[in-house]
Amino acid sequence: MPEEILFAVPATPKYLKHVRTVLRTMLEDGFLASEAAEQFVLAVDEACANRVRHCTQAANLPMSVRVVVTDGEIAVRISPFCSTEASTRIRGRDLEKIRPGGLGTHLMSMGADDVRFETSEPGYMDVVLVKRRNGS
Amino acid sequence: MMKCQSENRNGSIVITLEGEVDLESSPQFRDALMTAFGRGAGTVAVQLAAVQYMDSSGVAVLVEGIQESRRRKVGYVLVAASEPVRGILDLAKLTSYFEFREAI
Repeated sequence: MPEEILFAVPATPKYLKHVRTVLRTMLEDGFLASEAAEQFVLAVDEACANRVRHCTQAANLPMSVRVVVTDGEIAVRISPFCSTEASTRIRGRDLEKIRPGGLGTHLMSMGADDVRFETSEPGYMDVVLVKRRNGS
Repeated sequence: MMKCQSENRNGSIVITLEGEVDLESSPQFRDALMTAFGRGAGTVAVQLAAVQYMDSSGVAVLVEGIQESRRRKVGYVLVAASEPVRGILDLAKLTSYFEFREAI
């Protein structure tokens, strides 16, 4: 039976740990191997951090997080994630260049099987991160 | 939640981190690290055995440490890096840029 949680937090750094806690709770039954689970938690955390840091137009809007676990996958939607205009500029950086910052997008794609952007409320995009179940 | 303590130990400044290093707590870590580099010790060591989670903002601080150590010509080592720290440094392909030690 699908399991779903929907919650919203202020888009500020102090609430990111609560998103991680909810996600870890939903993953504690072994849906994913422990390393894969922590990498997925990291991917989602990086996505939330990107929303907090870069989506300044939505700074006063809560960050909605919807987690849906089905037999085959876990999907996390962060809404809104960024402006429609900003979504065209999102890309990971060249890891050969050692410098602080710019790793978040790379870690999102490393920890999730799929990362996609979907239309949200006018002017904004959501991000959806999906991880398939062990062996799927 | 993250705890961050600094101490002098045999001519080195040792920063000990405990807990989760994320966007909320990494500024505190950065302040401690930059302060440590400004204290004139021969080496700055970051003790990471008790770090249970680190995100890219924490990694960014660690990388800033590399830049600061080169600028000031001060030694810089990561001590007893926990599995979460090793894991994210591996994902970011940064492991080879750091000096690791088991103890200080």
